[in-house]
Amino acid sequence: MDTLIALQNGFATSLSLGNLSAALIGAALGIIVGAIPGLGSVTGIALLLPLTFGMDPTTAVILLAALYYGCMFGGAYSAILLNIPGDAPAVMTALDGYPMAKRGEGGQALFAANLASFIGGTVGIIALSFMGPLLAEIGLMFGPPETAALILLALCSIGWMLGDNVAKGLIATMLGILLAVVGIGSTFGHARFTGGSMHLLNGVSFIPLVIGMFGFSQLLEMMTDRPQPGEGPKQIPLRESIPGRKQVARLVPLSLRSGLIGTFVGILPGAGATTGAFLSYVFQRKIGRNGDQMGAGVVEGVAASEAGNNGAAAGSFAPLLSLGIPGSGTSAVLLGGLMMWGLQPGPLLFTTRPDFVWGLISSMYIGTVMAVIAAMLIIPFLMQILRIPISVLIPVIATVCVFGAYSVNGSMFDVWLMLTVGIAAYYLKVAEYPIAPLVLAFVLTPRLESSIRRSFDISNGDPWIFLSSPISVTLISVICALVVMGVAGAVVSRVRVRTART
Amino acid sequence: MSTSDEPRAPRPLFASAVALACLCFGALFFGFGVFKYGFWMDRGPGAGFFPAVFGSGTMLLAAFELMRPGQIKGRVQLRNHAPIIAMLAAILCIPLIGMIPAMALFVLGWLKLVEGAPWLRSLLVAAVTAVLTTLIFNMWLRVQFPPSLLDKLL
Repeated sequence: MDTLIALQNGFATSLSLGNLSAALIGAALGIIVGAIPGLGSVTGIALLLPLTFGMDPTTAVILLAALYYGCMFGGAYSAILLNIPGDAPAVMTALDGYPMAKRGEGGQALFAANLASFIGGTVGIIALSFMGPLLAEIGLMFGPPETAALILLALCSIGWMLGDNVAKGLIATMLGILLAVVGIGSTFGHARFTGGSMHLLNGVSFIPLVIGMFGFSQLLEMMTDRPQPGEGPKQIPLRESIPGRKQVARLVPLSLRSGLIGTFVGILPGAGATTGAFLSYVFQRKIGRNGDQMGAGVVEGVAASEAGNNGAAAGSFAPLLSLGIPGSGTSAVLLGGLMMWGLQPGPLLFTTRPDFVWGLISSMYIGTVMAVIAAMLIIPFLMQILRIPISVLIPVIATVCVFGAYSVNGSMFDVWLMLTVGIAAYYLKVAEYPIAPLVLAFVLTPRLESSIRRSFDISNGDPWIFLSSPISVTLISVICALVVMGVAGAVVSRVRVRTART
Repeated sequence: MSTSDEPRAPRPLFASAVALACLCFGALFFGFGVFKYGFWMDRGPGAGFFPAVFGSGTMLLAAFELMRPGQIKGRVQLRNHAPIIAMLAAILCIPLIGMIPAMALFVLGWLKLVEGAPWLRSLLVAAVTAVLTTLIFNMWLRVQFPPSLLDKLL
């Protein structure tokens, strides 16, 4: 009851005309920033942060929360329409969203992404409202060994779950891990595989990598794999793209489930929205309807990924507000903003500044509603992109790739990196290696490496630390079961093929 | 269903080349991981642990892929490489004329020379691309583009 009263007071603060306008502006800006490849919520908030210092802290944080949610919505658009994920969590959305757009079902994918984002985000915000401090405590139960086991589980399942050929999926995963160890990591403090280049000291930059892997390689494919004029798939009109009652009934349960998974992952410090989107996708593929068709372009894949991604975005606020520990890169930037406004996130914030905390939480409800309204209004314009002929899209996408890669660090090295990675990804794709596992492994590896190293530091070199808590034992058992099942499955299918041959 | 009488499909050279490249990539990381960065330190994995473990994994799986018979549906054609050549030319022009003009010329040249689009459409798309990239990246995000020879002359 106390929570409801506090939330009511929060809404009283955030529902003023000025705050509502701030939420709408934030949501619209967030959608644009999220949809531009190369920019993400971290960049968006970092760019807007200096402009908010003159504002009232509550209005400022409402603006930034709405921008964050807008980014989560917008990241899916370029993934669905151009196969260039706007940010890392949208990598999973591209897997099903782009094939749908190629078949003329881009409108359906966009609506499903918006609906799932809204549901997943709302689930996360409700969980944050009623269980914020409890969620943060659960997050703290994940120390370095548990985090290492969770990420290892995610990495193991990537290779098995994506692509038809397990060996190729695993090779792609390992290539991602190897690319991620380049540079001076925070774990060891000396340069690895930089070849003496100062551009690689900070590692392979993620945005040029993802733009090259998805955007530029796609462009090379388009050269031969494109419909002749008049032969392309017929675009499903906007009116028919709006999900009907049946489709909504199909998407709501899976969005709720994926939102919950995402929220749980989001509260784990450092796990982030990418892991949330990925685990939601994997879970849906394993148990959900149309799971076997996911990856070929089904609406369930788009919805699972987007709901998980938005749930994680909300979940990451739990450790930030309750403990002062940022759960993601974006909440780390927000933490900096809060401190500049003279606020100290942590257990005392709920009692010392309830007006601010509940104003922020209520603003997240408003932010997600504003984002879904802005997102739905923008779909008719986005669908026009699908009408642009491929002959025009090719040079335009190439230009976006160059500017997107350059703008991250203002470095031409990143443009060359994008080009090189794009060519390599194209050859890998033609040889039927899946690209998404490579990118996901690249994102998860630094966290895995530092968690393993810290576990050994804590235990003074004793590897039994990984079996010292029920959480890590359970996770490692699941990993072992996954590996045994995968190997056994491969052996059985080989034996069957040989028996059939003889 | 295949029978023992059917000849096994030869592995395409391209697929073998990709698997071989993966094998070499894994071997490079394995070698450096073990011999340069240190596989194990006194209290846990060293800086070479990850490269060595996953480099060896990549090598093993790539070797398995090399030995396995199999076909791939995709085919690399010369036409697929046209954007690479055009992009290389555009990127090499950036130090001379600047990033926005180079990319606008790339769009114009591509539409006119490769796609055979009419002049008006080519010019229009190139101009819109240049204006939008200037507005978003230069004026809004304040990205500093690399200096060019043309900037210096002007």
